[in-house]
Amino acid sequence: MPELTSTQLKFAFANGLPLWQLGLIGLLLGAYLGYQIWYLRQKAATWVTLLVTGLRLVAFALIILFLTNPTVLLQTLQKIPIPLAVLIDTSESMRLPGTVAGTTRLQQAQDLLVKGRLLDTLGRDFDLRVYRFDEYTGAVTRDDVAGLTADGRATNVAQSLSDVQQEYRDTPLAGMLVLSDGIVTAGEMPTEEMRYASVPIVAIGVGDPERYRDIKIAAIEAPNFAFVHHPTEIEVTVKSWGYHGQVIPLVLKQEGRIISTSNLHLDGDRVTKRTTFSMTPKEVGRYRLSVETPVQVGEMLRTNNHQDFQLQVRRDKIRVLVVSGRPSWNYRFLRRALKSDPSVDLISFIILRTPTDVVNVPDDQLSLIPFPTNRLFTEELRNFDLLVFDNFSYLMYFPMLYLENIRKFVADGGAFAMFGGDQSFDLGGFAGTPIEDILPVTLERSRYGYVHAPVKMELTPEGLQHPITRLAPNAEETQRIWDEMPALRGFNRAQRPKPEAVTLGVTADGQLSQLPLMATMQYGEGRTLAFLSDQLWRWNFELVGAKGGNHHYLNMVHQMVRWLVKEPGLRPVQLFSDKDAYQLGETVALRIRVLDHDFSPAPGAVLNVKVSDPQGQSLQVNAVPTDEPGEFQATLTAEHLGAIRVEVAAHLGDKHLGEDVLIYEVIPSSAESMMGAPDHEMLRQLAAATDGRFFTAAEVGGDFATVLRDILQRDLQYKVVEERALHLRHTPSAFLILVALFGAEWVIRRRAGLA
Amino acid sequence: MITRRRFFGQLTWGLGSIGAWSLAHAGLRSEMGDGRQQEASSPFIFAQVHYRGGDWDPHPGGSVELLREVDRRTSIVVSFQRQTLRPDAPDLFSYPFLYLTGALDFAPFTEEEVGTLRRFLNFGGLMLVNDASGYRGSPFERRIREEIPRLFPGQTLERLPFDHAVFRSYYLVRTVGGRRLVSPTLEGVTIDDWTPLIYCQNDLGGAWERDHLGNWLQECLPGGETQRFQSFMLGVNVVMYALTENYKKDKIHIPFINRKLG
Repeated sequence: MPELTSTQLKFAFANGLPLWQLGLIGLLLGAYLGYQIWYLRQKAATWVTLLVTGLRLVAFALIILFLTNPTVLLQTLQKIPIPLAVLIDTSESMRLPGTVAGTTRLQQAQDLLVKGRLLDTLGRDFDLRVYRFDEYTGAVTRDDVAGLTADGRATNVAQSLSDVQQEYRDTPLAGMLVLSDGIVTAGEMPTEEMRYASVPIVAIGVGDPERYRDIKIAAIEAPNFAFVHHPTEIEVTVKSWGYHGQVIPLVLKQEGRIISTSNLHLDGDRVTKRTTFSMTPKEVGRYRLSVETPVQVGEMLRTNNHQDFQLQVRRDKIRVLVVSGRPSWNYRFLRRALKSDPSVDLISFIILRTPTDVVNVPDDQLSLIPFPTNRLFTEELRNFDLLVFDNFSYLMYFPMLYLENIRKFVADGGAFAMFGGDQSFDLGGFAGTPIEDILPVTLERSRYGYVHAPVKMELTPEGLQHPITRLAPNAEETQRIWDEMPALRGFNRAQRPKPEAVTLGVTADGQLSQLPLMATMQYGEGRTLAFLSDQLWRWNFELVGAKGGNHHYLNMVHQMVRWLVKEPGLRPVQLFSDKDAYQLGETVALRIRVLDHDFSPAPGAVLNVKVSDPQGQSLQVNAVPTDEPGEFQATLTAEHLGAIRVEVAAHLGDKHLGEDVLIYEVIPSSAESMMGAPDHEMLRQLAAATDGRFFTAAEVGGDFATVLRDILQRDLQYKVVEERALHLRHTPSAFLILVALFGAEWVIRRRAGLA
Repeated sequence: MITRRRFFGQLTWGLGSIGAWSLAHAGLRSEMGDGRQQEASSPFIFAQVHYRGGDWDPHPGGSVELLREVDRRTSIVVSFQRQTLRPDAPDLFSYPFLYLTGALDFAPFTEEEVGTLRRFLNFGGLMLVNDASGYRGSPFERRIREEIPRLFPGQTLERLPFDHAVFRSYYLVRTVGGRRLVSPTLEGVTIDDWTPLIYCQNDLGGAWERDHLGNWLQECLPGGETQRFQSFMLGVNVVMYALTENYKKDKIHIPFINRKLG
């Protein structure tokens, strides 16, 4: 604490008589003085009267004065230094080069404060309170300043200033001296936050914005999800410092593979450039993408030349192609159900006229259009997700060659469904064709063909669990719903389910029981369904008549479509993470739900979980069962930056149950690694907003303390440390003056013959 | 890569027409399935409402003639056995197409009948209402117009525009036929994009009907046989509309149909 003292003289009236008493005494003395004048004018010459009265007046005045106790105070004063907060930025960006080669920004600040003796100089005028700040704020001693390290993971300037100001809410604070590079990576912008600050902020900017050199992938604007086969635009913002005139390459990668490049011309020293990549996802899924630019010579920050992001690719709509052999109620109610699903884009072709139908009008009076079989089944088939043959026989319309195209379409991941009727399955001539390969049932020519008989469908145990036929959350309720379903009035008989098929429903009645009615199968990458009747509509309209609603039918059709096209929500293996992005070092919790082919939980499944980082290195992770049947969990640590891909494959015995992919992002634990350019402008605005001033570190000279005093030291405060009082009435001279006055009056009176 | 728009545009110029291809393969259908004759699995059944009072069946033979026409001209497989149903019949929902005709007043629908028919029409059924009187303002028409608000609260019969799917579901119909030309168009009640109730004032059933010897029972005025022909075209279209809904309003059909309509 500095000892700054001075002395001063003060005059005071200490503990005198009250004013009313002084007034009363003054009146009495005045009355006496009046009487004396009247008396002397009768007895003495005028000059004697004036002289004696004058002397008496002076004496009386002195008496009254002494009654007020006039005192001379001699005070010794000591200046009270007001606290000055010194805030030193210790965030990671302060590790970057300062203005002097070989030093960091923090060292630049430390040199100024310690070696430059700024702390000592300021300490003479101010009560220095020193703080380090980054993500948090903490007090340090002056001795600690030289040992501070720049390891804060963020810079929250506004919060730090606010915290310090709050600490001095009951104590005057001269101001705040902030030493920082001005980079804000957390919280509000301090210029806004401190606009109403009650103390001036003097900012010293370290680092040199003019000499900073960096290229930064500043922002990537990509949609959260894109649609397969639709171009998606990814806008990239690049900021550069110090590479005027250079052309830098920018690369867009998907899973480490370059999918697009772009060149950016940096036409200024500090420029912000934007470029747009366009990509067209080919498949549904989650993909790990990155935008990169090579590190340039002299770049001060290399960690911000690369940014990862992930893109989820979905279908815009499920594209369904229905080919119907003739107008029918089955088509009609199927169409209504598909049209009621906003995620379905339905294209349908119905055979409205056969060669045996006689046309009785010119062609221009018919609304018929050509059936573009060649284009549909050779070129455009792969643009659809699901192909449905609804009581349709190909025999009259296209060659068997196209059926092979359909088989390949399914093998490559497409979906196919066949509904029964007198033109379907074996009756449609599909036995022995590639279509038989992909169907869940064998096609045997039999003498039964299509059976016209009422029959109810009974769910198999697999059907009770399967997403298509599970129409309620639990098996009991599902069973009850199916028990109430109306009977079908006919079905295609004598088809047997294939061994690899999953039969969901069989005939329930009499001698014709246990014949397959609904079955599914995985073929290659695709899925197929066989419904061996064209009476599905009865589960819609007849149920409306019986129960008043058709939502079970609609649910079944919607779920059927989704299951066939492998909508993610119906995948047998589903992988989840507790977050989309993790900080480096955080624990990643994975959860895996596994269902058997019949969609019952598969607690005995064996999982293969592989985690791979952007560099292509991968490791196996052990997943352990949870208490929930068919659910597994795995934990790992986020050790590598970027988009991390997790793949899980599940097997049960020799049965492959399915797989899923998940991508999560690992971001730096510190936002500081992305920002390096000193932002002195922010400090300048901050100082201006609080009536303070901004200095660069270079501008801080030997007279800085004086300058700072001028800025901050407006009303210094002192305290009296010593005081001496001289009461004038207690001095002998006061008594002697009164005696002299009265004595002089007595002499004059004697001379005038009045005594 | 071909765009979807381009693809559908080109479809109209597709390589083969059904007619061209199928003519080359005529007769295969009868031989499929090892040469067996397979009975059609789900024939279209013409169901007629047997209401109380009035005359529910003024043209008993009309439906069969229409069904013959449907069978002869289109791929729809029909059952020639007409089904008659009370409006509250338990199996009403097994027949999504209903035909209601008459010339006289009939007993208002009971509340139960209204509830059943309302459900029938709102969940996908179609009812063709035919005024067999042959003149405007008939007792049947008055009854129908009184019953419509009960079946469709807040809605009335509206004229169906000629771009409605019922006019282009098979034939491109430009004129509404019938035994008498009482109204130049159809009326109907439309919910969203579906018209579950279609009302014709021109007595289509009268134009369809023949006697046992094959003679037309009723004369079509004023258009004669052309008008009768148009009655069948419209009848076929209504059946086709019931089974295909707005199929002919799908994007793929529009340019093709517009070109034919000039």
